[in-house]
Amino acid sequence: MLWFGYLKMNESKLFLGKKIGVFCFFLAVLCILTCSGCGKTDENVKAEQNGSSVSDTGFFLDTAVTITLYDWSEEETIQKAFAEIQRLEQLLSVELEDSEAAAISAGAGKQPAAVSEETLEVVKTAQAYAEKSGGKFDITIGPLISLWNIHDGTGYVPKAEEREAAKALVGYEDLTISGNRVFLRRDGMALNLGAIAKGYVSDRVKDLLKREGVEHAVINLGGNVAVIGGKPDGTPFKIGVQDPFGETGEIIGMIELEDVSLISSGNYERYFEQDGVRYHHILDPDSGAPAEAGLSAVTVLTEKGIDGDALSTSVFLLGAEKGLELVKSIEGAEALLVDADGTITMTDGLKEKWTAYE
Amino acid sequence: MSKQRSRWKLTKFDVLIFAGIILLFAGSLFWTIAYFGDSALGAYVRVCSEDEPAERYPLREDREIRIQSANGENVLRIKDGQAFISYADCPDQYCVEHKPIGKSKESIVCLPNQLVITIEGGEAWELDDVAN
Amino acid sequence: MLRTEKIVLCAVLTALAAVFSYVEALIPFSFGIPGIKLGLANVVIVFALYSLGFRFALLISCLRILLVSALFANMTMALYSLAGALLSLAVMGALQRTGLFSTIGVSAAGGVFHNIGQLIAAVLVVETVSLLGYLPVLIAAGTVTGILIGMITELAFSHTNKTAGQAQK
Repeated sequence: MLWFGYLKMNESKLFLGKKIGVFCFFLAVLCILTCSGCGKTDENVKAEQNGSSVSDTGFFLDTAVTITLYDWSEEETIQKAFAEIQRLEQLLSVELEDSEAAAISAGAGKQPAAVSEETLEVVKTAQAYAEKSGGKFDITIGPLISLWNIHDGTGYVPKAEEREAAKALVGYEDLTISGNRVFLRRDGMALNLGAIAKGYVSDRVKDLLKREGVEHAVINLGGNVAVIGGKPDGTPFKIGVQDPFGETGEIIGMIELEDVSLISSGNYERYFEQDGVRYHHILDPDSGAPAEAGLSAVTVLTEKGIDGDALSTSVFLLGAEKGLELVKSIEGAEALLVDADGTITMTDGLKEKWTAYE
Repeated sequence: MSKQRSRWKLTKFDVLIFAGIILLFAGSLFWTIAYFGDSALGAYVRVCSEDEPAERYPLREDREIRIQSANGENVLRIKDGQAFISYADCPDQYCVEHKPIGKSKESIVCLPNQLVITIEGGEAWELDDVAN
Repeated sequence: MLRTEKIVLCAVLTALAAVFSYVEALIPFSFGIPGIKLGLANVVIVFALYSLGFRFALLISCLRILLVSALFANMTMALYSLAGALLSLAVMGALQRTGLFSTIGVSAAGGVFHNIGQLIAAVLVVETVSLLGYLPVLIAAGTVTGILIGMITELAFSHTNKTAGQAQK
């Protein structure tokens, strides 16, 4: 309004022109300043920039970690995430001798180990899932995992007595928590957080990336996928679900995701074959052998990765009926089950997000 | 009025503008091809092995690439516009069991040998990732 | 044209440009290539350039970007738009001033430099030279959209009060 006043007072055309020029300059500056503060409504303005993204793969937690940030140009942000993963790996990995998880195992039957907040959260959540799954999900499974040694492809089928001995050292009731101290009561017990750590780490990575300002991202921790937001164009991310009977990378369908985790557990992931029988990596604490609950693969969609990781393993161990009951008892969780002959079952909430292939 | 008519019709000087645009176009096209070479025109296989700079191979030329690193050895084959690992000296062999890939952003990982094969450019992948 | 008339026309054109941007965000006239669109709002800018002169066109252009980005876009996009709009207008202003070229020719050059400006901004923001691989496509697209916009502008002139078209100079 002030400016129109100026116009009236100054007749000189040249002067008027100058005013407009100066005004335009301030507008431009103002424009840039104000727009940094305002939110985006992606639906109205579809990706004008053709989606710049950065991606990198690192090797942590005994797996490959790929992080892709969409509508983002700073590669450095991924390195920050990798550093965080490395920090958490130092706490949670049993492969590393000086980790807190290893310290808990080392103190088994002797003394409790004081652990960080992070490790405590993982152990507590794991114990909750042990309760919920009637003891099927068990992070004291360490002795059985070492016995079968399936993870690196050098495993063999152990003898029955070896199996019984290892099985006797498994039992989540013998893990006690007091304050920040975690104790395995019996000598020889061993912790293994492999069925839950990656899910937890994906949550922490998500938190970190969000704090950095990332709004669209896919985090893949060895096949556990977590996404932040949807794609920059406003559509959800499309994540394939592995076909348990096909080659790696062959999929049975696709799920559309926004802001959630999608985690699969299956007998195809890590295994060895002996005498024509496939021995996979998800061990049942009750039998001391790979789970045989009639399922080939379980894919779980949850808000938090830690829940998805624990839940997918629990459901795989429990089988279709009890497994689906467990999924329904957890708010926001959805699941897709593939049984031994390839039949697909899924919770109702997943149906609208699911697209089958072939 | 006369001014308006002359604007509506193209003037002979407009040729200069369009010649300029064509020159710009040709120049940028030439630069693009010279600078990006094949990668502007087709899909590439990006091979990223630990502590070595990534290398790129065009997806349209069939070939076999031996990838040797401190961690181990893999053989990458490019055939009919698709890439796959035909041999790995690692114990688990998961990368060898991975299906051939050929669409942008698809990848194969060999965990023991810390090797990542990714497709860059070319046909778009309908997915953003796979949970397995 | 009276000064008051100019101001009123300027206001109307600014509103129109903002509306065009909005309409285009709702119904994109897509050419099937990401980042390429018709840019209807540029009709208003070319129109303003010929009817009100360079400085008013500049004002309208800036105002439009301010309005549209405050309402619907984010900062990066505002920056891209601004870079494109300013470069395009600078080129069109210079060409128009010579009085040698037709609206369509001027507009075609404007379209090309609009895209070039946006791309330069994008390269600077993203710090990736490889974006320049888009240049040939963007130049071609800019020519086509520029010609279309020039033709639409001429149509607009022939349908509006002739005084609007003749006033400048």
